[in-house]
Amino acid sequence: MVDIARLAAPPFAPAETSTGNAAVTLPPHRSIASIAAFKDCLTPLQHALGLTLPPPGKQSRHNAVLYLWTGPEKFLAVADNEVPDFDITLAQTANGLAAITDQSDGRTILQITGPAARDALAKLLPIDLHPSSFPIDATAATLAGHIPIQIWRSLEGFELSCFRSYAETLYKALVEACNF
Amino acid sequence: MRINCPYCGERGSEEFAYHGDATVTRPRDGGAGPNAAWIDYVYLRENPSGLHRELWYHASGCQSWLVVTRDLRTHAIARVELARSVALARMEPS
Amino acid sequence: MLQKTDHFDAAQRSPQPFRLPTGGVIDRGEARLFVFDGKTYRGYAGDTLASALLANGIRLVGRSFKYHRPRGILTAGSEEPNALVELRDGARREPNTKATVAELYDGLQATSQHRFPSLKFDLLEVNSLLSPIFAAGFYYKTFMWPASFWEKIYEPLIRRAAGLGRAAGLPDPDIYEKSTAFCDVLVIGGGEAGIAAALQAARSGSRVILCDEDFVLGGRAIGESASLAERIAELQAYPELKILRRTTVFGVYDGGTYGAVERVADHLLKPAPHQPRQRYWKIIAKTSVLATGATERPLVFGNNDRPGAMLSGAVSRYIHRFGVAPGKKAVVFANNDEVAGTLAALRDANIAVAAYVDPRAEISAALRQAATACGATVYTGAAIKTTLGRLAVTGVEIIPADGGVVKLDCDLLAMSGGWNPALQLTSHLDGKPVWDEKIAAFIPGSLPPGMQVTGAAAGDFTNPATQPLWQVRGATGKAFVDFQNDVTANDVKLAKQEGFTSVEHLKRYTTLGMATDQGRTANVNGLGLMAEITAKSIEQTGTTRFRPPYTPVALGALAGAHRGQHFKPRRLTPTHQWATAKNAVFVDAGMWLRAQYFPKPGETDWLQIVTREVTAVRNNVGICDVTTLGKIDIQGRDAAKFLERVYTNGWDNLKLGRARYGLMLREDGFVMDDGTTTRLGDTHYLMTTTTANAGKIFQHLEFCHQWLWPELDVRFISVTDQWAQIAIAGPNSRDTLRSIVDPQFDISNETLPYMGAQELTICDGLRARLFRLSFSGELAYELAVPAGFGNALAQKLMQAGEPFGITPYGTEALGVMRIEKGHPAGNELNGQTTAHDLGMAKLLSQKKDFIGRAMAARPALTDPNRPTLIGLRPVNRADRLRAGSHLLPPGAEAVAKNDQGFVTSVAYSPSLLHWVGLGLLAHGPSRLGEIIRVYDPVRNGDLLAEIVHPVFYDPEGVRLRG
Repeated sequence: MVDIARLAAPPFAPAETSTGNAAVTLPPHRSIASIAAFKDCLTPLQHALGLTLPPPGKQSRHNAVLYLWTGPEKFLAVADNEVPDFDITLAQTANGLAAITDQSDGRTILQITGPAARDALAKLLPIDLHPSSFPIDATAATLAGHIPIQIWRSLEGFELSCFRSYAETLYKALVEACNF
Repeated sequence: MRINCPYCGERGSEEFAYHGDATVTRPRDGGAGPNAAWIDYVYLRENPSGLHRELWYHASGCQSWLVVTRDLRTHAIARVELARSVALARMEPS
Repeated sequence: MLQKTDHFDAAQRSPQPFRLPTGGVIDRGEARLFVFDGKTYRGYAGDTLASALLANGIRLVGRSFKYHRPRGILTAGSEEPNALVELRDGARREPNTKATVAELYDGLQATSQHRFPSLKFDLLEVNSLLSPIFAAGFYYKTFMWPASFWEKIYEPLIRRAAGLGRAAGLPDPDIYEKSTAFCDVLVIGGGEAGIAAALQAARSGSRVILCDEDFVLGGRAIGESASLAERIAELQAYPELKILRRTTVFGVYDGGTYGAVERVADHLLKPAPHQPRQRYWKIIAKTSVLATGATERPLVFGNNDRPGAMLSGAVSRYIHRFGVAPGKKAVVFANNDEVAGTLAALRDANIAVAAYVDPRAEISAALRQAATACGATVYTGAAIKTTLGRLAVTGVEIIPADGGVVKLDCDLLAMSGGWNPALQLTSHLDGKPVWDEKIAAFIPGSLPPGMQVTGAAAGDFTNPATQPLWQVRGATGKAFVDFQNDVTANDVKLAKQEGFTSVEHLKRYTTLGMATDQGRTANVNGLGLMAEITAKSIEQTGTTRFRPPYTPVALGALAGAHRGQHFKPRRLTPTHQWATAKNAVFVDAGMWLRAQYFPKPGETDWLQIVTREVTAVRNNVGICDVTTLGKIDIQGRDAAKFLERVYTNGWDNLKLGRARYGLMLREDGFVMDDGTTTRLGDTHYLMTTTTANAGKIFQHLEFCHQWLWPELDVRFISVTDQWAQIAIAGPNSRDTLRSIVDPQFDISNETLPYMGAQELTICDGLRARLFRLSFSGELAYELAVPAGFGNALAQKLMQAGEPFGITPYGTEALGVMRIEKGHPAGNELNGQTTAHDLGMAKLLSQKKDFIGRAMAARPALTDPNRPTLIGLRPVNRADRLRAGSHLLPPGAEAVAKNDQGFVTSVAYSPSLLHWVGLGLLAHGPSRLGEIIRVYDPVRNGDLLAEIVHPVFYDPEGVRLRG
């Protein structure tokens, strides 16, 4: 019998890629949920969750979960790892004050690291990633080529998330961009 | 063209989708029939040689709708507001 | 590749007769071999093709556009109108390459253009003799009779005789890249003024980008300034100062956006692996400094286009930068003081100067001194009447102040009619240049926001004094204004005579300024001349508007990586790996790649394969990935109210665990999209859309919420990619599912009826959603699991369905089945159909407002005469129907006025064993049983069909409710 529960596959098979100056990787699967506060519920929502959600264009961390601002009163919660029932627990804590939706499979996260990561990204992204414009606590919703993405800084470099169906195309575009 | 999204900052026009005139208001008569107000709302538009208030959607960004006041002769953008705020203000009894 | 031949060896030792013994910013230790018109020559690293040709004594490099006149090298820059060559061979062959900017690399191959059989002997020079016929605008007055001859005979012949180089005609083997860059200051031009501006900005801590089109920084100072190297070295000291050489800023756009192209590998034989040939830079700059310098213009006199006639600044540059003598004996003809630099350069190079000719009655002492120091005889108040020679200048005729003619021998004529600030970029955003009397040229007027201009580009000349001379009176022979398009002074006069006196008319009537050089050496002479002959001032005459691009830009550079299959991003379904392993044939569905059908080993006929799949589904069970349909999660107190307003039908009464078909209109009353929306919770709904409209509908929902009804409490999020969704369809679908749905969930017909939905688990605890929806008309379900499990679920279903002969099916079979069931889809929801047209008028609620309600009630949209949905069955069952065919009354003439509709979708029905179609026909539903003519002149189809009800299969819907 095929044990389906163990057979979640990554969206594509990553190939060996590194020019030394910049590298693209597919990190291990993480739980992700989208949060959209209902009307006039942002303050009570933060109270219920026990944390302050980030302002526009920013990210913040609480208890092994990264919160990314994605739109007005909308956020993406990205756990450091796979957390069973992540969205359900979050929804229970949110107590009806926000629309919580599982996005663990809806989004794929890619990492790009190395001293040339910013130059590689400049080939695809139309925003300024210079530290003066995009500091360590920044996040942005923008495009990579023609693919909508969310980008944020991590300790190692940058992370990007896109809809899962675009993941292979985005990965290949990033790898290509790492050629100098 | 670059548009200064109130949330995301200045972004290139490739991130946005244009909708059209922001000065027309959807008739509040329940839409029972195609009267003059409806025909005007759907089809009639001013084409000012100067400032124009128009709706843009930050499609590849924060997905906010924006009201942009733009000079159609010089392309200079005078103002960018959240559509939601403009709409709520319009609803207030004057 | 260059072959080792005697010629090759001779070239190795070739003496380069016009190379100066010392000097030049070139590397005499690094020889570069190149081929021009089949012969091999030698040059040095640092040469351009033009400087290397001149060093080897090659003067004749091309033939002109219209008259096929022999042409040489006029300039030393990107404004060159004459020295256009075909560079490279094969797929990389590039026509109209300016020899003056092509960097010399080892193995370079170049061919002259537009001559037959050779440069020296060009048969089409006969055009010159026929030149009265070929004056400006000749094609408006000649070659008109008989009318039919123009298209078939005259135009093709004229085109073949005109034109410049040939495009490669093969796919471009190179890759191109795009990049975005941000800075505080963009400095355009890396000459002295640009370098100074860049240093000033960098020193103050700004982020700076410095662009120069040349491969060496320094502009006119290269080879002339001692301190240049030091300043260039300082540029490297600032990490936030980015230097882009070989980069032309070609356009200024709104919002501080600039377009530039970097010629990354144009100077190499071939790009390195993974190296782009060119890179398109989109630069967003808070401010910019235009330091593009000035471009010299020639003087207009007889045969001023002969090889050997060269702009004075170019003469200086060939001497100082390239260590090349452009001739052995020169005459200099100029109307401005800048030419002193050229006189000094000629003296430095020991080139004899026979005469200095100047139209001004008085010249400055310094200038006179510079001339006499060369040994030149000075003629003031004078002008050159014509050059002499055939394929090259051998002498000139001078008209001195006191009349008569003086004939002098020379092989080089250095001429200067003045200098034009290179201000094209200032007018890309509608800036208007202003005329400056002192330098007799335009200088920047109004500027794009954030731009400053400095140096010669602003009209700041070291020696500005200039007296305009728009034409030499008494000149003999053709006097050229626009060299590349062969426009003469007489053409300008002809334009005036014919009434085309405005500069925009002058340009288009004569084609002055319309060639690949965009008139950089021609425009000001042209309008100066027009002003003179119309007795107007230059301000009154004005100037044409410059638009991007400043110099030609390769389309490949603009396309970047977005070519071929990378033109748009590819979206893969969650079962893509599984389908690939099953040898599926894929099809593009918008950005998605979807399995179209699944051939079994040995199967090659798509129709057979698809028929097999449909038969398997209708008799047993099949699975198909339907993930691509848009899925939007909708939550909030006002969710149902919102649905009421966007859909035409009602939603308030939709129960928990039920799905309903929904129709959406545009505000103008036409159908926009359809889908099914399921109620998953009290205030929780899941909406589906068509694949193609997923993004558009999401945008529409946000529009309605944020702009129309901001008071509603509702939130939307796309979950299309979160859930893999697989359709399981066929009489055995329930039994197939039973073996994977966890035992505590009841999926009987009673508990999960048609249009029901359940959240449940499968395969021992995997979260899933099961919808009883049927697009096929069979007993069917759609099962959704988190997308990562898509492949595994497909495999699992195949296993579970094996006892029932389960078959994977693709978009073709999906399409066949929905056509058999008369479901409108994309072909019918084409943006021009209404609910009435599609037989869905009953879905338009009478009780509430919804988007499109008012305008859908327009009489023209409910007119029964409109083409309305019907089915078509060929009278002769063996006939094949084709979508796109038009519907006409039998016996009526096949003309537009008899057109009553068209066929929208067709399929071969395995259930009925003949072709069936859906179409839109005037008064359709009231014409059932009638015979109609199905006419397809494009594919030679002409048959008869019966108009029938659009549902061909199980019209009672018995099978899907089982």
